[in-house]
Formats: sequence, C-alpha cells, structure tokens
Amino acid sequence: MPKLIIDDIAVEVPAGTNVLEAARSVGITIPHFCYHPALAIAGACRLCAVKLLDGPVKGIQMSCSLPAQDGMVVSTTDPEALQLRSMVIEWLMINHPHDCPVCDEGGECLLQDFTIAGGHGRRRYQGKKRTFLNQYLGEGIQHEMNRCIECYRCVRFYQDYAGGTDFGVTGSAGRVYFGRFADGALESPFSGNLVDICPTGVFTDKTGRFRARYWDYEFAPSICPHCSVGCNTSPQNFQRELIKVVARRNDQVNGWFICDRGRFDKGYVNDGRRPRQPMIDGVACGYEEALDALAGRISDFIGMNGTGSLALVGSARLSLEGAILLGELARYLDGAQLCYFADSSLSGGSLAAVQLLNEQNAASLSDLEGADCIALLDLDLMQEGPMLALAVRKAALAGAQVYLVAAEPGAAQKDLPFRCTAVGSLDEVPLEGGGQGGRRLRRRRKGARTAGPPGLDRSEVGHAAAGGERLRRGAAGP
Amino acid sequence: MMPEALRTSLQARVAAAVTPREAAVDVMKELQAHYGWLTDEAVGEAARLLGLSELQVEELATFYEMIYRRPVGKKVIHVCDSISCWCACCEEIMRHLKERLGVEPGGTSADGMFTLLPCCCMGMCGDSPAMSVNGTPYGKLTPELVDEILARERALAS
Ligand code: SF4
Ligand code: FES
Repeated sequence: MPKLIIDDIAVEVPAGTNVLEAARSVGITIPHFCYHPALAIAGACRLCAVKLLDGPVKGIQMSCSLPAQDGMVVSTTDPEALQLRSMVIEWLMINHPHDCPVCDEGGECLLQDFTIAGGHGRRRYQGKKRTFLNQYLGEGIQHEMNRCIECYRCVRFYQDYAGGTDFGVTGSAGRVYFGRFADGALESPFSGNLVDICPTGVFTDKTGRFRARYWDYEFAPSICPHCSVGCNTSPQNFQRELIKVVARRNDQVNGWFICDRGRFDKGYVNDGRRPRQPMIDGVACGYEEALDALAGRISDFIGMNGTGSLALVGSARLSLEGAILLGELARYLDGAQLCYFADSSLSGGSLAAVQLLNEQNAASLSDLEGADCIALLDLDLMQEGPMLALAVRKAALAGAQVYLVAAEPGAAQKDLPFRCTAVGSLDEVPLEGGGQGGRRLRRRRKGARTAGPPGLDRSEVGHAAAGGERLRRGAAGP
Repeated sequence: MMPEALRTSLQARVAAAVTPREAAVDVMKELQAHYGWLTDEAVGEAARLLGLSELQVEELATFYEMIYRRPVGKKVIHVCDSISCWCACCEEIMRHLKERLGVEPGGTSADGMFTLLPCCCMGMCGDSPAMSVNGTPYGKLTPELVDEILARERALAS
C-alpha cells in the first residue's frame, strides 16, 4: 500500500491507485476530462496536471496516468501546475462555441465546471473556430460536434466498454470527428450513456431537451423498473414530469451505466392518462381520504364475503418495498389470497430459485464481471437484462469462458457484445479444457456463474443450481 | 465491384495476418489502387473482408493521409510540412505549388493531373524540404526544381 503526501495530507491507497484517485480519496478534486474510472486511461486532455515536489518522479505529471508510489510528495496547487492547467483549458476552449445559454448540457457540464475551476474566464483567441457538420444519431441522442474537446471518452465507452462498432473516431489531428460512418440511429443498446459520459454537450438527451435546467430538476435516487437487474438511476423531474433519466453509480450493480431502455423508455410515466392524484370514484381527493375509503371498502367486502374471497395481486415487477408491503397487508388480512405471478410455473421457478440461493451461489453484477467461467442458460440477455451483457463482456475480455446453453444458439447469440461458445445443455459445459482450440480454462479462482431466464420451471432451476455448484467445486482446486 | 482475382488475393492477405485489423492498411491500399481512391463501395468491401464495420474502416482510412476518401488527380503530390521541412521553408514550396497548379491544399488541378496535399514527416529530413509525387520522393526542393519535376511527371503521365 503506497504512502504519499498530497497537499500536505498523508495518504495511503491500495497499490495501483493513480494519483488522481488518491487525491480524491482525501477530498481533493483534480480537474480532469478524459479520465473516467470505468474506462481505460487515455491521457488525452492534459488537464489533470500536478507537480511532484519530491519522491521517485519529479516535476509536472499527469495525475490520471501516474500510479501512486511510496514517498511521492504531490502538490495540486503549485503555481506551475495551476498555470499549465489554465493554459490547457484555454487551448481546449479555443474551438468551443459560446453557446452555453442554448446548450442543454448547461448547468450539468463538466467543461463549464472545470473551465471555471481551472481559472480560464477570458478568451484571447481571435481566430476562426473549427466547425463540423452534425449527424443524425437516432431519436435518443442529439449530436453537436462543435462542442467536442477530444477527450475520447465516448469512443472508449462505445467500442471498448460496450462493444459497439458503428460509432467511433475518424480523421486526425485538429479534425478528429466522433460519429458514425453515415447518418443513422446508433445501434448499441447502451448508446445513451454517451450523454452521461461526454464531459460537454456533444451528446444530449433528445427526449428531454430544452425543458428545464439542472437546478430546476427534482432528483431522487431510484431503481430502473424495466428489468430485474435493478440498475440505479437518477430520474430528473420537473413540474411533475419525468424529463430525463441518468445513471447513478453503484459498483455492485450497474457501475456507472444503464441501458437505453432504462434511459429513454419513459413515455408511460408522463402519459396523460395516468392518474396523478388519488381519486374516489373518479373524483380527486387527498391521500388520507383515499386510503380511508380503500380500507373501508376492503373491510366492507370482507364483512360480506370473508377474507378468503379477497385476492391481493402484485407483480414480479413490483419494487421490493411494494412487494413487502403487499405481503404485510395479506398477513394483516389473515386469509386473503396473495399472488405475484400470472401462472404457477413462474411462481414455482422463482420459489425454487429463492430456496436454492445462498450466500455462496448468489452473485452480483460485479461478481459476474470477475468470474472465470459463465454459463448462460437459454437466455436472451439483451432482452432479460442488457446490463448483464456488459458485465459478461467485461469478464470475457478478462479471459473468462462464456457458454451459452441454448436449443437454437444462433438467434440468442447474434447481438451479444462478447464471444461465447454455444452448447446444447448445461452438462456440456466443460470443467477443464474444452472451449475453442482446447485452450485450458484458467483456474476458476473467482468461481463460476450461471444465469437463466425467468421462465424456468422448478426442476430446470434445480438443474442450473446444481450445474453452478459443480462448476464452483471445480473452482476450488489449484 | 472489385475483380474476383483481387478479392481472392486480399482474402489470402487477411487470412495470413495474426489479426484481420493488421491487414487493414494493405487492403485499403490495394482497393485504392484499383478504384483510384477509396470509394464508399471500397470501404464496404474492405469492411467485409476484414470483419470490421464500415465505421471502423473509416477510422483507419481517415487517419492515414495516403488513403484518399475523395477522388484525386492522376498523381498526388504530398508536401511535407513537419518540423525539419518547415525549418527549410516548405511553406515557400507549398506556396509555389499552389500558384503553379492553381489550387489550395486538398485541391486537384483543372486538368485533373495533380492533387496537392500536405503531409507528415516522410523521413527525408536530411534532404528537406521534401515532397513525393505518386510515391516518388523528391528532396532539396527549390521552386525551379519543383517546376522541372512537374514538367517531368506530366510528361511521364502522357
Ligand atoms: S464527443 Fe464528448 S466524449 Fe467524445 S471526445 Fe468529444 S468531448 Fe470527449
Ligand atoms: S484526465 Fe489526465 S490527461 Fe486527461
């Protein structure tokens, strides 16, 4: 664990941590554009300069690409570092349009923040600005290339992280352009993350432009309701309308990102036909009044028909809190029927899964990212939980073997952003060797994971769990 | 459409590479030699040969200044504007060529003979200022020498 000093504060960080993160761990934010914790280091913007006063390296260094080492004495406020940063900002801003008042990123723009923080407030450049033509990128994202500061975050996310192939960087030197081969909707189901990851307003959310400013929004930490992965989101609300949804970081679940369904698919929330306030027989009223009326009607009903005739119907898509409260209500109304599933095979499968899950075999998305072997059970990952696909991709890129157990592998394999081996049944997933070219599996130190669709019945779930267990035991050996 | 023989030879080139991407520059150069410039159609063909997307081919094509994504004249002149040639007054050579050919950098002379482009260091710093015409290197340029070269290259072409 390297020990170093940053701005007179003693810091100890895990080996491999860069100086920028080491500073962040003690509350010092070094301005940066190209650095993003989820992406590979690019060292492209030169904004994160600090000065090393003593230790193994000295002088001006880029803190994002410098691993913290014992004995380093770092200054983030040294005049030389400050001057360099302000000059870097000035130069990054040379071509940037003066369009903040009409830019939807305004107020939630890293470029604005760090331009000010970096000490650049007055433009000296009098020459012509470089300009580009924008592209149509689909109904989700608006493109405005003139704002680009060439940090390469977008392309590192789109191609390297998410495996997309239809968006990237063309040209060279002062002409680099971030876009597609030709106008057209972005193909990646994760394209919306460009909105979050671009430090300026090159990509803005077309579904919520020009409605409100960042400081107008009401936020609440939320969970995406679109699939069972449960990605963390931050919906941006204005005057009781959901304007945008952005990702909220959770390292155990979705990391920094969400899929496009979670981001853009929100029309139903704002549907005018959705009741916006409690009503009794179509007449608006207060919450207390409505709840009293509901309780009264339930007790009238029970009085007439008995609790046995009352069914409380939830759904597998209900939030955990809602599901628990519904269960409590059922317990309170002793004898009422409680159901969450449309048919009994679904409930059987879920019950079996819950019974078989334990601390050893339950896996979070971050466990999945670190797995050495992954078996996907007859699963359309892009439908069931797109963010799972990114976790599997991460594992696959790190060398994990991925098996897709499928009756007709072709279709399910088509859009996956990682390579996998199709097998006919779980039993065919080899414990040792196998796979392409007979390459030996790495030791499954971090264990194996199985994942299946919600429609599996009880015996299938049992089989899957046993398969997972078998793989896991295979992992224990040297 | 590329001829079958070209396709077969390019397929063999791609197959011989450790990763298909590695063969990308060769494939683009061959297709450019066939079409005269790397047409949109050629980008598509390169993508299919290499197992890349059109965008991924475009990324490489637009990075390299010797891959032409627009029609060019019969001969392409690359004038080095990197540091050594700049110290040796390459700007004067460029100005002279612009005048003689009646074009700005990127343009093609009215007779369709020459396209004028600036380029990065060609490794001819010892002979700066330098340029190349359709791959033939010329060093120690002066405006007079440039006129001679243009006349010679024009004569060779006809
Ligand atoms: S488009 Fe945005 S993310 Fe991409 S390089 Fe430009 S500023 Fe960076
Ligand atoms: S953040 Fe370090 S160089 Fe860009």
